[in-house]
This record gives sequence, structure tokens and C-alpha cells, in this order.
Amino acid sequence: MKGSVVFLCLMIAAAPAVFGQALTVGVDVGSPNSSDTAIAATRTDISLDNPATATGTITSVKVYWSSAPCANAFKIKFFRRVGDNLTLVAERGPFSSTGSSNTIAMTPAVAVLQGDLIGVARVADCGNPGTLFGIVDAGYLVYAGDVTGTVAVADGTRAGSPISLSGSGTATESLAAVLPAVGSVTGTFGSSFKTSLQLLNPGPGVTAMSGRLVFHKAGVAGASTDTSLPYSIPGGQALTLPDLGAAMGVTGLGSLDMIIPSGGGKPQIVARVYNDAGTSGTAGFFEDPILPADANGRIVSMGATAFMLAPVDPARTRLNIGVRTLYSGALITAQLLDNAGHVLASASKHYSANYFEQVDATGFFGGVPVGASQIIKISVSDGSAIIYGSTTDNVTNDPSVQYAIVAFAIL
Amino acid sequence: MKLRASAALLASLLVAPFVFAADTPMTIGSDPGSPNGTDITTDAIRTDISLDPATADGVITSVKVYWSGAQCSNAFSLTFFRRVGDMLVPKSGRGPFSVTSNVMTVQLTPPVSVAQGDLIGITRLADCGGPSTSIGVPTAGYISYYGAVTTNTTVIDGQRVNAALAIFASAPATNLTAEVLPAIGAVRGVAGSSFKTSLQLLNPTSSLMTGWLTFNPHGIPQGPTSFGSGYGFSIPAGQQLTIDPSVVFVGGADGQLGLGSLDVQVPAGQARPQVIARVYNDAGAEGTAGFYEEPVALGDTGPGGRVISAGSSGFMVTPVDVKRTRFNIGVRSFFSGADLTAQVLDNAGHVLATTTRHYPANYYEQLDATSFFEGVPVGASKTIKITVTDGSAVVYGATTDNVTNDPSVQYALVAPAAQ
Repeated sequence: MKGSVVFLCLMIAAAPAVFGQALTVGVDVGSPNSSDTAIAATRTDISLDNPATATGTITSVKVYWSSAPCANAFKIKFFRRVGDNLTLVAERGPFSSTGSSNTIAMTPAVAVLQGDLIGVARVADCGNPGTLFGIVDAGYLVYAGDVTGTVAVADGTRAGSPISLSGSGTATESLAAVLPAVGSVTGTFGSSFKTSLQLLNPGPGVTAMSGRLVFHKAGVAGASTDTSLPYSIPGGQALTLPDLGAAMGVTGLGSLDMIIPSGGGKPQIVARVYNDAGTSGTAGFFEDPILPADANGRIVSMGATAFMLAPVDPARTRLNIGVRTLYSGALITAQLLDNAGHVLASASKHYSANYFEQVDATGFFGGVPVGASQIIKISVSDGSAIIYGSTTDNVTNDPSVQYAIVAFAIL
Repeated sequence: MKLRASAALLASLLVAPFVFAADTPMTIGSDPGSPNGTDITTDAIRTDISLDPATADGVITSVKVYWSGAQCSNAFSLTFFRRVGDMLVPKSGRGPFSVTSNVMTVQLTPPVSVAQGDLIGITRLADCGGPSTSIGVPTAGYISYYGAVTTNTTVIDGQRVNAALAIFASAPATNLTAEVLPAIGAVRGVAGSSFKTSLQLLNPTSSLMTGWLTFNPHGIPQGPTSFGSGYGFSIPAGQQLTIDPSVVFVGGADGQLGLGSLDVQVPAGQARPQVIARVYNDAGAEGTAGFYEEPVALGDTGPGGRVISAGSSGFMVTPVDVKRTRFNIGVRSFFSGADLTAQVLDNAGHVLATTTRHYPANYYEQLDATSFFEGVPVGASKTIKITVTDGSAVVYGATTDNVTNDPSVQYALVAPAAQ
């Protein structure tokens, strides 16, 4: 496997920044070798590379421009992605190009949320943004005109190479962890699933760890305004929420984000998802939180392929498949394979940004039942996602989860 | 963000789950570069055994030795030891060698095969100089013994020194233990429980994948995995292998496998299989209840990691509801064993219980939490702090429902050194 694969993806590469104080958005390609896609004289390019790595303020933007000087040549724009729509949240300019590399102060600084995107509008017929042809990545979207308001991702012209447009500034808070599946929900076979959550601030010292928990309901595009619960845990203490759903005032299945202040510590998360059968006992599992910089291959990013296996005994258990996307949504192809490599079923699916759903495996594969120990192969061709298989016993309703693990990525 | 740096970073993130660096050599002992001391003089003739173990299986052809004197005839010999629990078993010896300079490389004829976890020792045979040591470098130290050690000895029979013993060897790695499943088995437990494990190994690559699984029974010190009751696997490209550990290790005898720990060993440089293990209580017609147990890579150290190394602390939290569940604590040590101190803390920081424990190398046990803490019951949502002072270990808490016997596991996670 080694040597035959090449790895390149900007989403995860940016992830380690979450604990730092720096905030970046977009990419600086260094030496562009091509122009942007000229669909119109006045056009807006929105970079899909490296969505804002944190919430904070952008104070400086660097953009490559092919000609100089060009008076009032471009505007810098910032967009918020909710589901598959992009809404302009701020713009600065117009600015004039003074050279090929233009570093521009944002005055006033631009407030962004983690996941926001940076764009540039060409507003004069002089020069254009630079791109790096030959590198395939998330790329950018091009729209005719000087975009204001809201546009759909699907309405833009997609270019699969990076545009040399980046911003930097100061972070205030960022995503620290995701629990892909939590909730308080009544399921099939009389099941009643709940989630208990314990957050531990191990110290050392008494410095409190604070942050907030954000619940994204299943089947709905997640937003920063979703139901949240602030917390503050003194050093050496544990915060216990015996019933997360009750504590947050939410019901149903969903996904939980932990947001922490920049430079703050992330508490240790102990989450148990279980079926509560009352006097007949409980059955569940401890769910590992997924960190943005997950080193165990549980975030499947653009160009990567991950695998999981169907349960050993489908007569006794049912299999559900859950997908949680991050800030760029996800486009995936899932295949069901037998041990001889035969493709038994295939499904292509698009998920919007910060979206979560869990469906039964047969439904996931368009009605094809999933047999024992069959191989589920997930290839992500855009964005990134956490994908899991949930095995639930048909009698006890005991749930347990395996994550699809990245095996390789081919550019 | 520059694209080039980003690509390199991602490569390391994505490769990590499955691939070992093909060209990473195995090492044994320590090469501090510029030693700043000599070994302790337990005796004129003495044996020092480095506690920096072999990082993989391999064949050693030469050893680098730092010696405080020069021109010493028949000054020392070299011995390789296999650690089984706390026992050190001499496996191969070479020498005597004469010293011709303070830093010298001696050839081993014939070469010596070592297993991951083996140790290298040096015996001072003549009254001329001595092995060099170094303080202030990362090391597990060494143990010094009177005389030449030619028969089995134990780690507690020697004098422990917290300095690096400056003997070192390196060779191409052949095989290594990639990861462990700390707790698997087929065992009848309390309250009518019958725990089983299903095991699936997936080869997602385009090449044949081979390796070994070794079951380390509960409570029995083990040697390197290649000396256990290994089960060899061979998985064609793109295929999965479903295994019943009871079948492959005890011939299918129901409930006879017992509780244990599973090591996954692969050829160096080969990808390791994706391991999907479900540990569950099988209540027959009344269904199953269990969890998927993630394998733990031996290199999973550092903040947030599951392997707690000397000098680090790990934390876990006791169950929310101790009336409905019981709580067990499991410990799996590695090639150097583990010494640890465990504390139960309440939210006010009061220490409710403390225990200090020693675990031999490659040892596994699981105890109920009250016994682990020597009779002190563990309450709800208490903090358990595990501080490892020697060696390394995976420590977990197993919460089991008292009615359904459903087990689930949380690992003690390494805490940041400072916030």
C-alpha cells in the first residue's frame, strides 16, 4: 500500500490548529501557475479549501493577482455555509492590486465562525486570481457577478484546484470533539436509548475548563445556533449529566459538538449510549469522541477510503449506518462487497455540512440486505465525514458502534 | 497555510492507522552519544542489563559499546535476555571481547536473533574500565547484578539505576507487535453472564496480509508474543477473516478460553489488519449485549493516548449509577511491565483510596474495582487517577450492567502534562 498512494487533503491538515490561537481560512499556494475559471468578467470565487479553522476574527488576507497595478480590482468576501447554501456575511474592498502577492489588512477585522469560507470577487477588468493547476483538492466555486446574499453550492462552477486566497487572524473558540451519535430516543423493538455524559477536568491545578456542548438534531443541517449547553468544570472535578437529552432539553437522535475557547483545555469525555429497559437493566457502550485531528483514521476525508464490516450474526443483530459530516459536507460512494470482491450493492450519497443521519443498512444500500461479515467500503470524493456502523441486538436492543477506518487515500 | 506543509502533515495522519514505516530499524539498548558516567560498581565482576528493550524482532550482527577504559583484554561479554514476567532468561551470549577504544563496535558471530522486548546486558569480566552510562537522556535505566549472570534471574534481584547504559544495537526489524486488544475471551462471569468475543480481521489493501494473534491468559506473565500460543493468519487482498477465539485457541471448548488479552503481530513494514472485535454477553435466546473494542496501538502514548508510560498519568471516571452496574478495572502491561499508583478522588480532590501495584511484563489482569482498591468501594462518578512510575500499561474500566450483564469499556486516557 505504501508508495502507491499519495495523500493530500486540506480539511484534516488544517485540523491541528484547533487548539492554537491562530485562525486561518483558505490557502496560500505559493506560486500559482494558472488563472481562475473565467465564467464572466465580474465573478466571485469562493475557496472550499481550509474553511475557517476556528471562530474568531480575520485581520489579514493574502491574495495572488495576475496583474498590477489594477485599481479597485477585487473585493474580499466571507461566506457562511449552512447545509448546502452559502450566505455572504462580510466583505471588504474594493482593493487595488499592487503586485502579484497582495497582503491586505481587514479594516475593520472580520468576525467569522469556524467553517466559514473566504472568497474574492473580480470587479474590474484587470487581472485575476491565481490558482495552482495540477493539484487536486477541494478547490473553489465560481459564480458570475459580485455575489451578495445567498447562493447554493450546486449553482457554482466547481474547479478542483486551489485558489491562492487565504486569511489569518485570531481565534476565539473552536471545535474540540464530536460525539457522532447521542440522544434520547425511542427506537424499534421497544428500545429506549439514552446517553449519559461525564466530563472530567483532570487538572493539574484548579484552572477551570469551560466550553459548550452543541446538539445537532439528526436529519437537519447543523448550525451554530443549534441547542447548546455551557459548562465550566473546576480543575480536578468531573461534571456528570446522567441524561444528556434531559440536561439539554432535547429529544431524538443527534450528534454532539464540544466547542472550547481558544487556548482552553478539552475535558476528558466519557459518554455512554445505552438502552434503558428500566428494571430489566441497561445495555450500551462507551462512545469515543472524535477529535478534529483524529489520529486513528476515523475522519474520512476527500480522496480517502475507509472500511468497516457487517456483524458476524445478522440473524441476531441489526445494522444501522451513521454519517456525520463536518464543515464541508461530504460526497461518498459506499459499496457492499463479499469476500470474493463482488460488489453486492453500491450507493452514492451527498450530505450537507454539519449533517448527521443514521439509517438502517438495508435502506442505506437501497434495499439490498447486508449479510454477515460483508465488507463495507466508503470512499469520500468531497468533504469529510465520520461514518459508523451500529450493531444492535434484536432482543436486548444493546447498541455498539464500530467506526469506518481510513485505509488509504489516492489522489 | 502553505500547501506543501499541509500535505506532509496529512500523510502522517492518514498513514498512521495501518502502516508501519518499512525502514524503521529495531533498536535495543541506548546510545547516548556522549556518556557522562560509568556504571555502579556492584562488584568487580558484574552484569549490567539495559532496560531499553528491543523494539521489534530482528537479527543483531553488531553491538556498539561505550567503555571507560581502553586497551583492556577480554574485558566484557554480551548477553541477551528474554523477559518473561519479572524473570530474565539468558538466551544468547557472545564474547569475551577486548576493548580497543572508548567507543567500539563488536561483531556478533554468529548473529543473535532477538524478540521484541528482549534486553541486552554486558558483563564486566576484567578489572579494566567499565561500561559507560549517561544521565539526562530518555531511558528506562539499567539493572546491575553481582557477577556474571548466566542463569535465570529476576528484575528485583539487581540494583536499579536510573541512567542509560551505553550499549546499543540496531538491525532491520522483522516482526513486531502492532497492537493489542486488552480484554477478550470466552468466560462465564458473575450473575450468570457468559462473555464471548467475535473477531473480524479485514485486509483492505491490495496485498496479502499475514501475521499472528497471541492470546495472553489472565494473570499469567508472558514472554514475547512469538512465544505465546500464536495463531497465524493469512488474509488475501480485500478479504476479511472471521475468527472465534475459542476455536483457534482452545479448539472450541465452550467457556474454556477464559479471560485474556490479544496481541496482533505483523511483519515489519506490512500494514496491519483492521481489527473489529465485539465482546459480548451471550444470553442465548435472550440476546446479546456487548461492545466493539478498539485495538490499542503500542505507540498510542502522549496526551489523550491509551498507553500510559512512566512519568504519565491517565484518568477515567467511575460509572454514573453504581447501583445498576458493577465496575472492574483491567490492566495490561507491555514489555517492561508496569509500576503504578492508582487513586480514587472525589470532586473536592479528596483521595478516597490509593493503591500501588506492580505488574510483570506482558501481564494482564482484571479485578473488580473494590478489590483493586483493597476493599474500598468505588462510588458514582469518581475520578480514578493512574500514575505510572515504571514501564507502561493500558488501563481500562469495564462497566457491566447488573441485570443484562452488558459490558462496556472506557480507557484511562493520558492527561496533558500541564494545562
